[in-house]
Amino acid sequence: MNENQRVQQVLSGNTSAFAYFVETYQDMAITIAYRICGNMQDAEDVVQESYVKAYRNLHTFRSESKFSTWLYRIVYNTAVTHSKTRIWMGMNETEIEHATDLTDQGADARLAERERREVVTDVLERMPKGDALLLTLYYMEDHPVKEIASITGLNEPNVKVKLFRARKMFKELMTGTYSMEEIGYR
Amino acid sequence: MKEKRTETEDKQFRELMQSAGKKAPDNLQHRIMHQIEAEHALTRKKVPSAKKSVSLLRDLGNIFGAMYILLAAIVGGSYLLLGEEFLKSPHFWGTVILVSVIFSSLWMITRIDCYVREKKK
Repeated sequence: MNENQRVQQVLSGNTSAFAYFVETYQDMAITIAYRICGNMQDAEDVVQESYVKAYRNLHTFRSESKFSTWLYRIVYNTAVTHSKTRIWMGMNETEIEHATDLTDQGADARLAERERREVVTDVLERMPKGDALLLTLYYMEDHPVKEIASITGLNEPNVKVKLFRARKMFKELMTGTYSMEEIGYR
Repeated sequence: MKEKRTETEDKQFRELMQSAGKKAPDNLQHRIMHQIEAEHALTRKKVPSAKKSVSLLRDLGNIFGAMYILLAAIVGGSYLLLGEEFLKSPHFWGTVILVSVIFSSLWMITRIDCYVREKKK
């Protein structure tokens, strides 16, 4: 059974068919919400609210786009509203934050004491929220630039530029703090 | 050469990012489905729009049905008692218009009453 058929099932009154969408996309939804809100408690609330919104507005879902893209867009908007913060910073602000991050790093940090997961999470948390979110969307679920643009509401060239900068910043933060070879990045 | 390097870099990025994905807590799905089912149950109770249109038609049928019965009785009675000529007189037509206005007003009052009651709800 494909997703459109499941959507039709939910629309015809079978609410339990909606469990498929919750089960399939909740991990990515919580990752997106976490990147924007910055804590797990708020991320959970945002995801719950987003799913309820998606359920209420399921009749407006057009099958031309993927259900995941539609849902992540709702999660993104809800999280931005919930966190009440600007997630897209201007170039200068980003650079300032970036510079601060680099000077804050403890030079003696060693990956041996941490797991790779924690290291990546740590670096992503020190990046501007929008940049961390772009990397997550692009690399975690292989979303094409077009889909990322429709989730975030940015235009495609803007996504590409921001993605390039985010990648660069991630690498710099990583190399500034940890030995890349140790985490398998060469 | 450059393309190959970008590809390898992308692969490494992918591995790193996938290791940093968050996992939803076990009870989250239950929480979401519970809320959705509660909403579904509430909206199902709120559906009497079909009922509403049925009652609207019933009111319409009752009021205008009675009006036409009364008009038929007036026409029949006038024809039998006062003859065909009376049916052409302004007196007769005045009566017909009066009856129509009274019943239409009754219909209008019923609709306003329904609207006010719904608004109060």
